[in-house]
Amino acid sequence: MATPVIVPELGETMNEATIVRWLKNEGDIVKKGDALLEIQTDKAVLEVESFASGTLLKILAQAGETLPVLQVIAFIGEPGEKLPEVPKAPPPPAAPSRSVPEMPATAAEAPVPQAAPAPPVQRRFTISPRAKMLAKERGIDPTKIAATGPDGRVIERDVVAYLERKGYDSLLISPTARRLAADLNIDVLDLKGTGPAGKIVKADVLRAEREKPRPLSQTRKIIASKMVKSAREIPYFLVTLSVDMTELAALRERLNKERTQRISYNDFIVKACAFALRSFPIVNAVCLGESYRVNESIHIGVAVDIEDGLIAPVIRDADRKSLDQIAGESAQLVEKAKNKKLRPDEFQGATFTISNMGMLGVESFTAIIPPDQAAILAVGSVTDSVVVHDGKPVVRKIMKITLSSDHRILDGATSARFLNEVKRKLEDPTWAG
Amino acid sequence: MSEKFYWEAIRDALREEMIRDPNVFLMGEDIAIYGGAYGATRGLYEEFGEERVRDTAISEAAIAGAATGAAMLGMRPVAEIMYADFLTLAMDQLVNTAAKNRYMFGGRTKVPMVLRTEGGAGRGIAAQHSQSTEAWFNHAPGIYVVMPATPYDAKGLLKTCIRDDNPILFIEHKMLYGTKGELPDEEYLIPLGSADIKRAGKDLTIIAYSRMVLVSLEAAEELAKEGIDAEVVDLRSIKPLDVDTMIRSVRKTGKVICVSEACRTNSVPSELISVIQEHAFDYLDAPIKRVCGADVPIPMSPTLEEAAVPRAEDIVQAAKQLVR
Repeated sequence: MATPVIVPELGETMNEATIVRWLKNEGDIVKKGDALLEIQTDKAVLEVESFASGTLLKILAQAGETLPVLQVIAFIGEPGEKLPEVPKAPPPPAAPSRSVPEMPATAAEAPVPQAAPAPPVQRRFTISPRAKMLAKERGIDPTKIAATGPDGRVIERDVVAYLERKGYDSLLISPTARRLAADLNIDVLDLKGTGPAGKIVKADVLRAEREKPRPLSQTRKIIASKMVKSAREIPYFLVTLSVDMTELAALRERLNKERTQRISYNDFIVKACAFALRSFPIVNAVCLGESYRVNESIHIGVAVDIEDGLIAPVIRDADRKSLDQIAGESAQLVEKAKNKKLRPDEFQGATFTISNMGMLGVESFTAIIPPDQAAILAVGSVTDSVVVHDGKPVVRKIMKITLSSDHRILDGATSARFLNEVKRKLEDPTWAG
Repeated sequence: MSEKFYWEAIRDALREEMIRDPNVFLMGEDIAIYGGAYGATRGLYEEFGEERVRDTAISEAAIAGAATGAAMLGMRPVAEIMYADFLTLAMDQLVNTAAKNRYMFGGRTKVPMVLRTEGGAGRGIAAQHSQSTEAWFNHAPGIYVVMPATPYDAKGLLKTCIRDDNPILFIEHKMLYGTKGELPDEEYLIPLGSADIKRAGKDLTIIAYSRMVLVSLEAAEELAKEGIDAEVVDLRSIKPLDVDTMIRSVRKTGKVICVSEACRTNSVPSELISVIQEHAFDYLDAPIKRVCGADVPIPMSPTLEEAAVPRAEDIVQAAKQLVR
């Protein structure tokens, strides 16, 4: 009996994956553990390994195809073996039934990363070749035309009637623009003319082409749905503090002189937060609607800006790691993140997240709380500022930090206290020296 | 100009060519003394004698074979097979010999023969005397097929066929012999592979040949009363086919009906539709319709015979569906 190769489920919220490329061909002998193909899921490209040895008998899905998790995509077995029928993949489930109770989804909720429930059955748009040719020649979108042909087909007279209704013949358009619109499949009736007397010219067509909606990439779709979920479900509030980083700056410089793996400001902030989370476990928690969970371990996500979005690799057990360990790990993780090489376990499971835009000259900002956490810290740049010390103006290195908190389980006082603890740890970094 | 019967047009064409070229001679069953089953050779025996107008034995294979041989030796025979249904007995001579010899002898021989025959339903003479068999020969490389619908076309085409150096099947229609048409007094020829627009129109194209041209014109009249303007294209030659005229019409109207009296399956319209979609797919506003004879042996009963082949109302119905 041939062994099926399936799209692996690599995360609770993973519903589908796209095949990037097959690493083996039909007919190849494979061993258990061999990498069979690369798939793209969430924001990373992963290898899928074989759980059987034998011949790769048949590949059922090709590079570029997106399939739901658990879908059979190939078979491994002995040559000549009869292969079972593989039913067509059902659309990934609307409700995240595989999700652990901590995410009680409401009935209409679209799960992450699935975009929308299966659309209603639509009639196929049909058009006669002649009508299609006419529409293309005129540079208009035939799907907007009312059909009177048999079986709801758009036929020539429908296109003619539509053109008349829309006053097509009195449309001012240059021949170049018309041809270009036809080539680019842009409906000339949608265009605003900027030429003399409102004439549609080539530039208008080119502008329309540039403004054409483009689909969101897989990465962006996932980010978008997480953000929407957070915005929709988490009532948040902000607490901002200024931190005097002067002492820490000096310490950092001193420490880095003796090191090849440099320690960044963010590494200190990770450690400081880890301490504070130990003292305020409620900030290391997550609200689950009618319940909440306080996480035992402290895993801190560090937001990284990548090519088509952002990702937050996780420094696990940050409270039990030294500053050097944190520095080394975060450098590695950032590198991997930028190369899309993070494994799911490397970007999942954070209990608290830090987003640092200090290197971009940002004074302060608001971060959006990841849907599986209770708070997120937004860190601004370290800037020489004039502050008052003992009644006198002095220049100190000041950094603004802003905590976004889930008001369902965190109140202003708690968040303020937590943030003050972070500030204390950063302003008095003896623990690091 | 003078008005002549279709059979007269045939007879005149034969006569003129026999006068013009001494190598032209006729052979067939009952063509000499009897003057032809439908009168197409009437008077020719008297004028040209038994050497040039020959009654044959009742053997279609012999008629076709002898004509082939004579043609290969320099004569220009116009042989007649009395009923297109009997072509089956001459198939081997026609398809395997006449059609292929020029090619198989590397051009060192040619077969300039015309095989006249007549087909079609309407006389109540049943399944073995009423068929339309042109599709079989359209499918055989090397032999050509001409089917005139009017006296004018019949005369001009027959003369051309006699002068052509290829074996050509010239299929008349038994119900057309009695039709009349205006013919010029001076000589004229109609080239092979030339279709004729018998009625110009803009709403749809009806492609037909032989008797179905007249039926199509009748249908067009009916349609005109309802404001539907049909163009009727008379192919005249089935092979060689005037693709250009046909396609020009299709591109103009976008809606097509192909008509043939022959059985629907693997009929000439089947071939036409293939050619049309190859050349004019983007110009079609609707799927192409076939109006053909039923896939049945032609019945003897007059009512059934009439129902077995396309009538004007069948074409009218199809046209209305197309332009609906």
